[in-house]
Amino acid sequence: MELTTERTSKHMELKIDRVSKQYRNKIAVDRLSATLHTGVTGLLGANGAGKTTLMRMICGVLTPTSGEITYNGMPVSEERYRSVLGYLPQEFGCYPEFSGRDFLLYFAALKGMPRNEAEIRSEELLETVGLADVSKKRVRTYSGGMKQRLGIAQALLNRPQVLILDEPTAGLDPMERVRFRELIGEIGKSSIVLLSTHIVSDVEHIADHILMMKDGELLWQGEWKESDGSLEEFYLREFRE
Amino acid sequence: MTFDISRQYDRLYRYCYYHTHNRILAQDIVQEAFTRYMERYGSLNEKNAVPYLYVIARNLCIDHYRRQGTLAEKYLQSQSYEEDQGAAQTDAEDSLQSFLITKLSVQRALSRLSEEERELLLLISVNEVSAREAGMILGISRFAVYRRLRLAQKHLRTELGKEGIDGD
Amino acid sequence: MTSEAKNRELLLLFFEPDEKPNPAKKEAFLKNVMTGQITRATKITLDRMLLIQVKYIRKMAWLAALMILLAAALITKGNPDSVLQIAALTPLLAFVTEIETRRSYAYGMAELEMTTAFSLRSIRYARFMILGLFDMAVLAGISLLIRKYVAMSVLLTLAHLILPFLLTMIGALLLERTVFGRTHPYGSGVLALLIAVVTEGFLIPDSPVAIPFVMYGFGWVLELAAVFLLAAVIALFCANIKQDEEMTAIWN
Repeated sequence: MELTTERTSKHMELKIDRVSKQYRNKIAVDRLSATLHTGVTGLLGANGAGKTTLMRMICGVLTPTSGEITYNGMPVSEERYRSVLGYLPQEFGCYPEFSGRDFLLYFAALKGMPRNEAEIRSEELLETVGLADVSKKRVRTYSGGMKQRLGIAQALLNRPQVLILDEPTAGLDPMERVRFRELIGEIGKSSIVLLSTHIVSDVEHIADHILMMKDGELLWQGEWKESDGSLEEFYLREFRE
Repeated sequence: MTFDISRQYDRLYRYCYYHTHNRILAQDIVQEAFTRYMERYGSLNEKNAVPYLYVIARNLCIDHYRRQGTLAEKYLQSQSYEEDQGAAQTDAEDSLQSFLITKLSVQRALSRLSEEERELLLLISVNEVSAREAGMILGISRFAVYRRLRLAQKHLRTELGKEGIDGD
Repeated sequence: MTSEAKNRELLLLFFEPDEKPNPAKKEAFLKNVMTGQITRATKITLDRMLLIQVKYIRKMAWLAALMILLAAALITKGNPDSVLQIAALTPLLAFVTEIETRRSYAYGMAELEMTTAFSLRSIRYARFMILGLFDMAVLAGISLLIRKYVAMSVLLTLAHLILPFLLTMIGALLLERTVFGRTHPYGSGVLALLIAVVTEGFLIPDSPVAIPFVMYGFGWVLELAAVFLLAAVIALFCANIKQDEEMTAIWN
């Protein structure tokens, strides 16, 4: 029997190839190359290092000035790519009339999910991020941490193969951070997860791979093991120079 | 009613595993069935998604038999239940032992049912496919499904009785 | 335990697979199915997109158009001479429509909407198309409704009604392109009011600024202007959508 299922279980690879982004007077990302695989990758860097610009380009929100980003060979500007993408921007808002549930259903619809499937998935995610009891309340009334968790749920709606999270732990309290790390670790088993942060402890224990950015360039990348010592110290040392 | 894809995947796998007794092949057939289904119908929220999936999977299993001979049959023939039971009795733990004995008895009883009876029991009693859907899968009327299922259950009770298990 | 459940337990001893499916393979596969990697090669169709957006357009935007319809009915009843003052209301309609099509920016939803299957661009197109067509249908309806009270063709009446609407739209779209416009989304409201006042001045029959186009048979100039402005609005809107990327960047 000719079984063709292999095409679905192919190896996942997100390739960033000599990508630059230049604004009028400033180079935000400078000829950066990296390849991401299944697992959690932490993107470390101070504010203004170009993390957000890089992430926006990976999501196809911004077009690079030069260079190319592909997922399994498919340019990230393609519509097909967006169906496997989950994205949490650093900042986002919400239409004032939306409840948490409305918010998820809206994006589920925009992601092309059938209505009943969207409903089940939304309930499931509201449960996962601990917002089930406030799902009918307006998002306007949510605290910063609640809104952030809603954003994370939104990014997970379509079971993304590529999950991009820009400063996902901002506004989360310590308990929420722990839960978030568990959730991301789980997702990282079968998806490419890239999360940016300026807090080293956010990624120290869950990231399989670390990228460090400074002034639009990649300063260091590789795997960080317990035996390598404190990532925090390394990070600070690298950035002092 | 909503379609729980993960659960249907497991049930379809159980069905294909029964027919192939091969983990990798059964899983490939399940995934191929889903893939072919999606290519044809686009959404799992179709009313007849479940029977269609089974029909596709069943045909793939049949294709496989043609090449390999009826594996389920072969498997049943090759199993020497008496020997296995002997091995089980040397086992130390009582509860495990009685579990294994029950398991072997059930296997012996079911091996004396016809292939169609086993298929009906698997679809309806185990995988909770509705009678209407089972009829679609097997290409018989819903009433024929009811009738044959009743007979199969009766036959099963008799055979289980012979093994000393109270089938009710 | 019911006998049915017990029966199932017994049968599972026989039918339950000795080996579970490979969980990683299963998870990866289900992900592919759920995310539409495995699917019939269908594009998300325009009609489905439009339907979703129809549902999410605020009632206010629909109401604005219907209010003008109501105003038209009332004005026509009370004072048939000043029916064209309805035209002075259409800038407000244009304002509401434009605001509705860029709510994504105003409420910080743009970046999220950009990464969905539909993409922000098509979302804005859809909203603009839906509301724009609806507004124009209402204005056309009004022109038909009041044809008994005005001494000109339905088409020319429509041109009168639609010109202030299109002018406001162009102003609002131009404002959208500037940093000021982006940081003051309601700035186009001021513009709408301004145009409304000017329109009012033009249309009061004994106003000194009234242009006697119609009297001297130059109605076609107005009709032509309307067509021209409509084309300009569409072109400008498309140009603005192309700018979305930079706009989102500036917006944040």
